[in-house]
Amino acid sequence: MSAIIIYIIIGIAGGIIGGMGMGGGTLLIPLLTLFTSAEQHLAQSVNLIAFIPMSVVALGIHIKNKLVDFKYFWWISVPAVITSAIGAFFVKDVQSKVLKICFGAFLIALGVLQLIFIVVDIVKKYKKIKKNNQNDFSKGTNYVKIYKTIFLGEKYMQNTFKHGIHPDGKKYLSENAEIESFPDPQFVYIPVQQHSGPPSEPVVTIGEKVKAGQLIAKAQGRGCNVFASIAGVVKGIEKRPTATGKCDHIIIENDFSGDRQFFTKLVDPSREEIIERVTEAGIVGMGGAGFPVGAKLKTDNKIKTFIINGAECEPYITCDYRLMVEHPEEIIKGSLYLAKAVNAENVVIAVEDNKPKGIDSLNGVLSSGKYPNVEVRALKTKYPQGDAKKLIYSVTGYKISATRRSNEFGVLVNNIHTAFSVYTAIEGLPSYSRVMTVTGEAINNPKNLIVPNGTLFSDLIDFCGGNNGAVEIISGGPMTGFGVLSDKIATTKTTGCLLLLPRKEAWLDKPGPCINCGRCARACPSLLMPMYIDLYYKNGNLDLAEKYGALHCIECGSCAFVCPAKRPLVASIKQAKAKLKERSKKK
Amino acid sequence: MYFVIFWQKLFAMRKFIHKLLMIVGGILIGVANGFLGGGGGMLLVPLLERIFKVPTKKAHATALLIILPVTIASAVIYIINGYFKWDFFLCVSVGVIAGGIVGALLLKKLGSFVIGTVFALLMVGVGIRMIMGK
Amino acid sequence: MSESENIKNIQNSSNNPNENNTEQLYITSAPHITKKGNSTRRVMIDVLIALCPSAIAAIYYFGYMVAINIVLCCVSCFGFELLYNCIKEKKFDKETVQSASVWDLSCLVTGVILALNLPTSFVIWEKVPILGMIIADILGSLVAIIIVKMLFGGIGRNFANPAAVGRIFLFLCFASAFKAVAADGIGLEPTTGATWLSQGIADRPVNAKQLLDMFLGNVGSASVGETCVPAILLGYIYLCIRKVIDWKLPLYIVGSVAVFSLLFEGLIVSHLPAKELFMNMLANILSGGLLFGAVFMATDYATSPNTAIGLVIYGIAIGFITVLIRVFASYPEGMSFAIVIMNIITPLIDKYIYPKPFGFVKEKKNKNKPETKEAAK
Repeated sequence: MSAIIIYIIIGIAGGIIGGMGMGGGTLLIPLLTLFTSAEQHLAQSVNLIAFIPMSVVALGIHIKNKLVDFKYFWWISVPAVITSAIGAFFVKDVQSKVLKICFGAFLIALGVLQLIFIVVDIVKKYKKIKKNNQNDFSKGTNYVKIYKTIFLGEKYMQNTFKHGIHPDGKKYLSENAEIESFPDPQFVYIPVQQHSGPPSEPVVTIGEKVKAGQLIAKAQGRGCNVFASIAGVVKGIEKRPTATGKCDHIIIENDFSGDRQFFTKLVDPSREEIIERVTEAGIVGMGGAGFPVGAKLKTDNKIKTFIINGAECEPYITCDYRLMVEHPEEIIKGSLYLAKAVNAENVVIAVEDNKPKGIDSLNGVLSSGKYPNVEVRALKTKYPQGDAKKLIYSVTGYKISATRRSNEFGVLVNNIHTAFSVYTAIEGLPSYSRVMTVTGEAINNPKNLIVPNGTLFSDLIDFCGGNNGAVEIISGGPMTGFGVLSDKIATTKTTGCLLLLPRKEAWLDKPGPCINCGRCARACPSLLMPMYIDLYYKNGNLDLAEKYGALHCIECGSCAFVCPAKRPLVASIKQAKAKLKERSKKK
Repeated sequence: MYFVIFWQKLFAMRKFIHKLLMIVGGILIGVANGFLGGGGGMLLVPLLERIFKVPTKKAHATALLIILPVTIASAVIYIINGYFKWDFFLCVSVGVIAGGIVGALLLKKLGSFVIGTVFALLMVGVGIRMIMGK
Repeated sequence: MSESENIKNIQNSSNNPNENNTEQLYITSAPHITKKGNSTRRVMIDVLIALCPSAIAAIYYFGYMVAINIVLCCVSCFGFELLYNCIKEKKFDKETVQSASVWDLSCLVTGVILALNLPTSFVIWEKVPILGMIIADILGSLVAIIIVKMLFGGIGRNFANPAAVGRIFLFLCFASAFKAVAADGIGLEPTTGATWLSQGIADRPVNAKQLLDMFLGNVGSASVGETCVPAILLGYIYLCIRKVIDWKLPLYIVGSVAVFSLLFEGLIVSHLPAKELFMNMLANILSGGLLFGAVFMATDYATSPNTAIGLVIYGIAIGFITVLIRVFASYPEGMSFAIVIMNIITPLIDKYIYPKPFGFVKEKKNKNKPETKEAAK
C-alpha cells in the first residue's frame, strides 16, 4: 500500500516539473530509480507511457489555440521515430548500471546546456535593455534597474517617481462603454472663459442666428476663441456660476437645423500654419489646465521630445482611454502635427499599464511602420503619474520642479485629447465639443459621450439614466475636481468628467486634529511635508510654510487621501500658495 | 573576400541547412527518447526557439506534437520487450497527470527564469548522483 | 433680471436635481475620495491589538494584578481626558461628551502602555498595600494625559511619550516602591526578584539558559509588559503588516544598543573573552524594557521625526543614551529616560532635516542647468 502512495507522489512530482515546461519526465526517471526499487529500463518505460495521455490532451488544447506549427513535423519526427525505435530495440541488451551512467551523463549535459542558455539570455536581455535606455537623460546607467528587470520581469523597466498613492481605479464602471454622441440639447450655455487667461469678448448679439462652429467670442490677450456648439438663435448673454467661479455665458437655443461651419482643411501644413490654425480653432489643454495650446507652441526653446499624456491616472475617468481604443490613428497624426509645430525630434505617447487595450490599439497603428518617430511607452500605474512634471521624469529622467517650465529642458507635454483635437482642427473642425465621461456609482448608466460645450449637467444626468442617491456632484476627477451645488452648471472645453458620488464613496467626515503620523509626507510625490505646511500656515507663519515646500505643491490630493485624521490638507496648501504669491507680488 | 562569398553561399543554402539541421536534430532526439527513455523535449525546444526562432509558447506546443509519435514508437517497443507493470504504471500516470496541471499553474506564478536556473542546477546535481550512485 | 438674482435663482432652484434623488447635496474641497478604512481610531485599535499578546503574556507571568492594573489605568486615562475636555468647554452635557477628542482611543493606548510599565505590587503604605497601586495608576494617568498630552494641545502635540513620562514620574516619586517583582504568576515557579541589569556590571556573566529565560519572559521585572519577547515580536509584526509604524526604527534602536553595548562593556570589562561579550550584548537587548520601548513607545507618531534620515539619527541616539545610562549610571531605567530625552530633541531634528521638493534647485545654479543639458546632447 505504501508503495502505491510513493509511486503516486513521485508521479505528482515528475508531473509538476513536466507541467512547468521543463522537458517532460527528465527528472521523473531519476526520482523513480532513487526512491523506489524500480530499475532503469522500467523507469524509462514508465516515463514514456505515462506522458502519452497527458500530452495528447495538452496537444488538443494547443491545436485549438492555434499554437502549433506543423511545418517542422515531418522533417524532425520521421528520423526521430526511426532512431527511437532502433534505440528502444537495442536498449534491452544494455546493463542497468551502464544505462544509469549514460542517463546521468545525459542529465549533466542537459543541465550544463540549460545553464549556458540562461547565461546567453541574460546577456541578450542586458544588451537590449541598455539599448532601449539610450534616450533616457538620467545620469549614467542604472545597473540596479537593469538587473531587476532581467531577473524579475519587465515591470521594473518603468522609471517612476518616488511615493504616490494607489487609489481604487473604478474604471470598470465606464471603461467598456463605447463613445456615444450626445444628442444636441435644447439650450446650451457657453461660458466665455473656458481657458486660463482673460475671458473672451462676445462678438454676437442677442437674436442673431449662429451655426455650429461659428466664432461667438473672440480671444483677448492670451485667451482663446470660443465657438458655438449647436446651430440656433442667441437668446441671451448672462452671468452664471461655473464650477470655479462665475462668468458670462452665451445662451443659444437650438433650432435643430444642424447647420455647421468649418475651417478649410489643411493638407501637409507647415509649422506656422499649424500654430495659426491651432490658435484660430481655440484649442486649449484638455487635461483640465486649459492653457491655450497655440501660445505654448510658440516657444523659442529647442524641443527634442514631445510627450503625449495618455496616463489618465485619476480614478473613474475613462474618456482618454476610449479615445485611444477607438481613434488611435487620429491621435498619432495629431501628435505628429504638434511635434512638427515645435520641430521636435520624437514623440512619446505615455500610457499607464492598466490600459492594455489602449496600448495595443496604438501599437497596432504604429506597427505599420508609417510613423517612425512615435513611440508608445507603458508606465507604472500610480496616482499622480499624469501630472506633467512627474510624467517627464518617468519618461526622460529629468527632474523639473513644479515652479519651472519644461521647455527649458527640451520637453513639452500635452494631453492625448488635445492631440486628437489638433488633428480635427487641421481637418477643419473648431473646438466646440469634447469626449466626456459621466460616471460614478450614483448614476444609473455610466457612459462616455461626445458633448457639445455648454451642455448643462442636468441634461447629461438625464441622458445617462438619472441620479441615484448622489451626495456630491463633481466636475472633473475625484482627486482634483470641483464640487458643485447645483446641476445647472455648463460643461466647458476642459471638463473631462462628471462624477456623481453616493454617500458611501464621498468623503464627508469631520476632520480631526493632526496626529503627526507622517503618512502625507510619505505619500507626497513632490517630496513635501504637507502636515507642516498646514500647521505653519494655520499659525500664520508663511516663511516656514514656504520652507516646507508650499510653492512646489501640484495639488494632486495624495496627502489628503491618506490622512487618517481626514484633514483637508490640499485646501490649506492652496490658500498658503495664494498668500505666498500675493506676498511676493507686493514686494 | 572569400569570406564574404562563403557567407553569401551559406545564406543561399539556408533552406537546405535548415532541413539538415532538422534531420540531425531528429536523430539526436530519437536517440534520447529511445535509448534513454526521455529528454527529447529538452533538446527539441531550444532547437526550435533558438535556431528556428519560433516564439516560446509555440515552440513548446510544436515540440509536444513532434515528440508524441516518437514517444509512442519507443513506448511500444519497450512494452514488447516486457518492461511493463500494471499497478506501478497506473499509479505513476495518475500522479503525473495531477502534477502536470499543478505545474502549469505554478509556471504562471513563478516566472521561467527562476524555474530554469533551479532546474538546471538540479539536473546537474542529480546527474552526478546517478553516475556516482551504487 | 439682475446678475446676482440670476445666480441666486440658479443656485437655489434645485437642491435636489432629480425627483428620484432624495439625498442632500454637499460640497467639499478636493480630493473628494479618501482611503477606505483609514482613520485615527483605526490606527489606535491596531496598536491595541498589537499590545494584546504582551498583555496576555504579562497576565500569564505576573498574575491577575496586571489585569486590574490595565483596566484601572485605561479607565482613569479615559476619565481624565473626558474631564479635561468638559472643563475646557465649560459644559458637562451629552453633546460635549459626544464631540470630545476622547473617542479616538489614543488615551486607551496610553493607559495600556502605562499599565504594562508598572510592577504588580506598589507598596506605599504597608497597612493597605493595594492603595499604593491605585494611587500609582491614577497619578500616572494624571501626569500622562493631562500634563503631557492635553495641556500641550492634545493628540499630536505632546512633547514626549505620555506613558514614558508617567512612568518616570512615578519612578522618581516612589523609587522605593518600584521594586522588581518575581514572576510568580499563574502556576509558574517563582524566580529571583532582582533583574539582571541591577547587578553590578563587573559580575554578571550570562549563560545560555539565562538568555533563554530572558527571551521567554521567565524573569522578574519592575515593569510587567517588557519581559516576554515573543509577544513583543508578534506585536511588532502585526504593526508592520498594518503599516502603522516604520519597521526600520526598532531595528535602528536595537542595532545601536548592540553596537554601543559591545563597545562600552568591552572597554570596561575588557578581560572577558569575545563570546562572553556577545552573550552580554544579547542580554542587554533582551532586558530592561528595550524591545517594548523600541516597538511601542519610541515609535509614537507625535514624538518621532517624520523623515527617513531623521529616524536614523533618532534611533541611534536613543540606543546610545540608553547604553550610556545603563553602563555608567547603572540605572535599569535607561530606556525610558533615553526615549523622553530624544522626544524632546525631535522638533530640532525636524527643523533641520527636511526633504527637498522634487526638482528643487537653488536659485544661483538655475541659470547653468539648461545649458549644460543642451551641451551634453
